[in-house]
Amino acid sequence: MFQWLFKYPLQSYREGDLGLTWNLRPELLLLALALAAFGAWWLYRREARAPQGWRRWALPALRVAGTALVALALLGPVLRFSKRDEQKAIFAVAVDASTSMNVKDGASGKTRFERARAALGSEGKLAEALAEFGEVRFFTVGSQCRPVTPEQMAALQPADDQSALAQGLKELSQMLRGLPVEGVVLLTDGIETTGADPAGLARLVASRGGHVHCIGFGEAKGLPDLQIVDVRAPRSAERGSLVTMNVQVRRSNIQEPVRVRLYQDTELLKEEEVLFEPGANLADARISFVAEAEGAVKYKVELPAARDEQILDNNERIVQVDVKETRVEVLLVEGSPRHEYAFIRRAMADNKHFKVVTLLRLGKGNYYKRADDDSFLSEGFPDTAERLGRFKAVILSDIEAGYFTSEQLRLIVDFVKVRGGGLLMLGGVNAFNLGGYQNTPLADLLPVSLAPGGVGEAFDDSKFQMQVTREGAEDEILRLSGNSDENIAQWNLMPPLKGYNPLYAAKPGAAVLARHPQPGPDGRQAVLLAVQEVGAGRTGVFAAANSWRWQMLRPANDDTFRRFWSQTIRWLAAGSKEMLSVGTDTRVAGVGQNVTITATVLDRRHRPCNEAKVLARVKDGFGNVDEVRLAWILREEGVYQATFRPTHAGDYSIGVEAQVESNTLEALTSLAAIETSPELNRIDMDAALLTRIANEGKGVADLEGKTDAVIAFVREHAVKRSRMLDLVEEKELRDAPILLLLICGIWFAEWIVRRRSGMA
Amino acid sequence: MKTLASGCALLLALASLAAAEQPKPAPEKGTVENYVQLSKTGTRGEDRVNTGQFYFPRLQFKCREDVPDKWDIHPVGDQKLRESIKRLTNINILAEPVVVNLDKLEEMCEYPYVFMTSEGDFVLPEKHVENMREYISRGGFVFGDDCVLHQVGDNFYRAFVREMKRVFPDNPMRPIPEDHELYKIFFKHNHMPFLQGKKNPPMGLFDKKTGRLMALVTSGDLHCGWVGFGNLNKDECKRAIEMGVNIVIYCLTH
Repeated sequence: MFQWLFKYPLQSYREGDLGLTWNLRPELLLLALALAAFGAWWLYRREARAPQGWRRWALPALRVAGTALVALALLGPVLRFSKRDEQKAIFAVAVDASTSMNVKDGASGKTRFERARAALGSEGKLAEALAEFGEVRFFTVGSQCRPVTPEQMAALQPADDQSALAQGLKELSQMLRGLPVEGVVLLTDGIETTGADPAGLARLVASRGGHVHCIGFGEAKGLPDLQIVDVRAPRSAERGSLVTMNVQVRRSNIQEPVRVRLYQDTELLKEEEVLFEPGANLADARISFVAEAEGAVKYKVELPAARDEQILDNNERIVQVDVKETRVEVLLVEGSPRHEYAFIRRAMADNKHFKVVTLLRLGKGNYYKRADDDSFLSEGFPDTAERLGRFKAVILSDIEAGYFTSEQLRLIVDFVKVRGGGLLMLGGVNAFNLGGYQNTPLADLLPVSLAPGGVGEAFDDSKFQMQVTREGAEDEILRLSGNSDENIAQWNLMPPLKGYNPLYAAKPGAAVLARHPQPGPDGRQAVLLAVQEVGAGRTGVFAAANSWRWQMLRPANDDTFRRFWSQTIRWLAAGSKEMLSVGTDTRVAGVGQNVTITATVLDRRHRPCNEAKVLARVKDGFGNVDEVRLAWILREEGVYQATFRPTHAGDYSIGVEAQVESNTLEALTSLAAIETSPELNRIDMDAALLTRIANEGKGVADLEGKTDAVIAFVREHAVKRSRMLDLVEEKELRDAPILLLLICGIWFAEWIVRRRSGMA
Repeated sequence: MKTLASGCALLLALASLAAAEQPKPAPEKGTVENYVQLSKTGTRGEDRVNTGQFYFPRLQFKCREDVPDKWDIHPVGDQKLRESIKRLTNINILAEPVVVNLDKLEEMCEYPYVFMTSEGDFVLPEKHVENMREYISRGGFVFGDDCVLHQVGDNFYRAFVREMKRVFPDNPMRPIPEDHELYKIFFKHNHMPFLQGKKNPPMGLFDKKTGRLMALVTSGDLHCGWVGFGNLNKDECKRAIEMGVNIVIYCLTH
């Protein structure tokens, strides 16, 4: 009966001490009881019919008693038993269970993990030796630290995609807190993938009297490996355009030529040799290809396996590019009919990506009107930001500054700096200073200075061979070949140009892509082609006037002229901002990794809008849609962000809708989620780290997978350390039936007394 | 003796003076010198292409020997058209005459527009056929006009159409429709002006892909209209000049 009421036998109450889980200070407890008593008494005083006689004291007393019992139950009454126990010394054996332990790089043909397991048991007999001096507990370290039984260890296969050694040591220390840890033995290849320093944790273990030993598995150096360190690719590209990817490749102990291949699905698109500088093991390879397929296209970059290379998982990388087919509009303003105009127009006529809208002046107020031009262009250059904003770039071709009103010039400046449009000025007798641009706002935009001294006085109509600079040979505008030297050689084969505006002073931020071959009067070579970023946009000058000669004086099947203009216009238009542009901080994310969606919203005047309502709909491959609201990030005008986490591998499409004023803008982007593993970025055993861990942990390191040194150290240093521990065991009393019965009984008694007093 | 010697010297001087004053023989027809001399000024201008400036070169090609007026006929017509273009449009046209030879492709390709005329039939040598094909394929524009033999013939016109079929066998010349942009691009016309000769439809060589006019030939002697011969209708001469302007503007805008 006693045990039923009080949960435990009477003997337990005799041996143990009553206490509370929530240890309140006694004075606080008394104060709380006093306050409760006063409250109960005061409440009863306020009753319409205050209790009289003995009830006057009994009723508040019952209420206080009931409340006190409830409070007691909440504070967690326990029965405490104190005992002293002998605790043996603890040896923690932590085996690395990350995937890099699957590498077979020993003479035995076994994996690193198999050798570690053998070191513990059949071969090294480490567990047996340690057991002589204390209790052996087994753990695995990888993405986290887990205690395992010997049986589990025997059946384990390394599969963790991270080697968080530092985190593992930290967790292990927490699990063994309060116990006499004699030693920690790490069996690992020493590859720490999180960037944290395990040696610091080893020092902590040592400070508590333990030793940290390391037994290393794997080749410290000498294992041949190729690795794709990084792939940089554009987020999106126009269909049919030339896309360039930069692939950073690391080689280890490989001397044979390294090639990089690019696949779309199983189709090999391109193969290039990776050129390493003498003595260097890191190199960048550039792969250029034409994006033919439309949509969110996944490209596989692959390094073919080198001889004897074992780790192939780090030889490939998936990259996703949004390939779109849009025809963006570029405005070409031409001062008078001339061959240059006709040839540029022809070059761009069948371009699938760009539509060159032309404004050709035939006379004062008289414009040549193409059938597919909008009517407002028949009145001349656009006079509002909205009309001009329709275009991604503007080309001023031999037209004087006086043609534009001051408001139109200001619009062009905003068009470039704010809207992110492109501006290109071509050479001609009405261009640059000859066209009176030197004192206009446009002079500030151009990549060359039009100040006195920076510009030749007259138009020079002599013939000359354009000289492509080294910077130009690398630039997308002048790219005819992926190789810079070949590029220069091909441009040198082009026929000479004729006529240019002598511009000598490139601005500091400009990239000069081509120059005149001969020095000018003061020894400087004139700038022919230069570009620069201005605000959000881009500007360029092409001081030559008759590029059509590249078409007429080359065989009909030569498409250099067409490529030059396509690439120039693509570059010009590339920086242009959309009214709503959307992107993610990565195109290929790991499952579970945070992905930031960023939307930039512009208003009708192409200025950043901070008052839009922006909503993203993230759709996975199964059609499930999550709605994520994007919020303005405050630190940047017009930029909205939100994060989401892909929950499984596959494609995600992200549709973003922005309400701006009365307009609804929509944009789409995409993302591929993959299972990632940073494990194989580096596979050589990190001998230096293992040595440092052992030094900081006041233990020993064996880098050949042998256990002898550790066993010898333990034998020499370990005293059969055991200690008496004061252990306290607590048994809960909260659910003892007596407590419930007492609470119910007191409340019932109070109700009876109240009823008898006519108060209920 | 001295007197005799002085007399001889005087005679010699007079003779040489007389020889110097004798007029040079006129250049032979069908030569560059003839074309240039009959124009007001100018030389062959291989190195004279200025930015934005438009040249109106005459194409030198192989004419038949029995043709009375060859490729260089009436250069003054070209000159008058150039002046009209300068006066009527903002095209920066050069006044000097230029001759390019169909035999020299690279020289010809310095000028993306060429004018070609003659009175009679002609047959292009194979090399000229190849050069013409390459010139047009690169983007050159050829305007041919029949100078009308004896005011009635259309030999040049027919030869042009025939030879162009040799140049582009799979893309023969076709009549230019009356609603073509050529007639309205600057001056508004409903048809090709006709000065004299045989009334044939103007024929065009069209780019198969874009429809752009790459070459055209007329049989109505526009060129004589540019000269403004007295026997021709004044209004039609004016229209011939306007159509000449339209053709140049079409070339510079397409």
